[in-house]
Amino acid sequence: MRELFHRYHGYLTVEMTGLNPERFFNLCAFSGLEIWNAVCLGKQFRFYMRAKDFFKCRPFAKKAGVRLHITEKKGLPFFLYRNRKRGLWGAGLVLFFVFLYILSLYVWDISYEGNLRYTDNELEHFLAEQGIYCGVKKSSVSCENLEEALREKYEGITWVSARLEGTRLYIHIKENEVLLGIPRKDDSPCDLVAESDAVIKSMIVRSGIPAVKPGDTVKKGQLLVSGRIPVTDDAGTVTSERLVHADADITGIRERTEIKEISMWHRMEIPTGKKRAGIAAAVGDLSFVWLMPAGAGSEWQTAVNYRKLCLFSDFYLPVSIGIISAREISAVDAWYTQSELNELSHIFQTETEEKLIEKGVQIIENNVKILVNGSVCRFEAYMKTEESIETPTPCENTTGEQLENEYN
Amino acid sequence: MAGKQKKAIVSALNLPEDVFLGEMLLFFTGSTSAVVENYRSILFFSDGVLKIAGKSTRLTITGKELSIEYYDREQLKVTGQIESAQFSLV
Repeated sequence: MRELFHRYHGYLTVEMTGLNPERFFNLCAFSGLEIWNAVCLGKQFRFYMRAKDFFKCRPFAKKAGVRLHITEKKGLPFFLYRNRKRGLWGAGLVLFFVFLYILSLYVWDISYEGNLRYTDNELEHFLAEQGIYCGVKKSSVSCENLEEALREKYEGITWVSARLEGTRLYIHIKENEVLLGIPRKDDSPCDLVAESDAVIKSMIVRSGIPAVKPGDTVKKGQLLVSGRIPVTDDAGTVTSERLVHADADITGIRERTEIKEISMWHRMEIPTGKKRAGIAAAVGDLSFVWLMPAGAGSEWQTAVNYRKLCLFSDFYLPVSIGIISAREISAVDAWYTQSELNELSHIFQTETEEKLIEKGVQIIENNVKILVNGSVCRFEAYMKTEESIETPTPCENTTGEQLENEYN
Repeated sequence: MAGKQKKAIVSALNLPEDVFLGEMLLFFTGSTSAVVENYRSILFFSDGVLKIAGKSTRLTITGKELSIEYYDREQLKVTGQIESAQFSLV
């Protein structure tokens, strides 16, 4: 602190020679003149003193019979004096800080945290509708209103916190991890029919009358469980039918065929090994690219990795700087080899299996055939699967039928 | 005689001697620095010796590469490699 104070007011390094230096020190001390870091260098003394005290101490120097010699001038007044002809430099420095201050009045980055169901883009779009986007004035952003608007718009958000730090708007969200509501049970009268040709493996019927049994072979659309329950009189004659919502778990073994066709010709991009690098800068919609020039007729693949400039931890600027990396490629049309086709068929098989497993289908067998016909290659996957095969269809309401919960 | 009486009174009343008798106060920080309070004047200063006058005593600090970090009417701070501090009557 003392050092800063001295630098602000300016101080001198003084060398002193003479008869009675101690007397000079005592006179200065009694007069309140500040002297520090005094050292003896053989026959002379060196010390520091404030610039304004130098002229006050001249009578004391005369009285003590010493000679003072200024060797160095330090501090702000001397710095300004030395740079008095560099006004533009000073103005630039001031403008820089003014510019930084103006930039700090705006939001230049929005960060989202904790959102899984709602994507960043979706939230960004909503914020834009609310008038909050990169480049908006911080004073026009009301975090309380924003939190309220987010909670009202998205039912799945249970807690939201919006805060401004530096030039960044932080939005922290907690989503509801349980069901928003109990799904409404469908009680409308229906039958269960087969979704596809299959062999029934197991049946658990909770409601309705089963029309088939395990081991039966069924066709697509065949009735599996009927939602019409006959009502008989004492003589056993059917007088009417009661309609119910048929409910059952029916698994069957069925065959599936998945087909994919590709062209035998494909574009191959072989890197030649030549690389280029460059820099890109983006300010809003404007972008500047500086990239080493390429030779005529060559083909290049370029990738830019943009990063927003940040002065301190939360002081983001409206400028993005990107590093461009480009590699030269030689593109040729090539014919798939047998090993490449085998690899592609394996990928196709794996992708198909993954899609079905996600739906809860068990795969018993999976065989892929590769059929090449001219310039077209066809992958055919034949699978035997075990899965749920029932699908509901509404019952037709005919005369004499009686709905469930209706009493005579 | 008057000085002895004053000292006896100050001692009996348990009063600070540096304030009432004007004695020098010394604070050492290891052997690298010392602060002297209640001194009168600097008598001699060189690279190896610093002599300071008090009200009734004289203090001689010897050492190597001695320098006066700061000083004013009340106190003085000396830094360097201090070897000894010796008091003598004026």
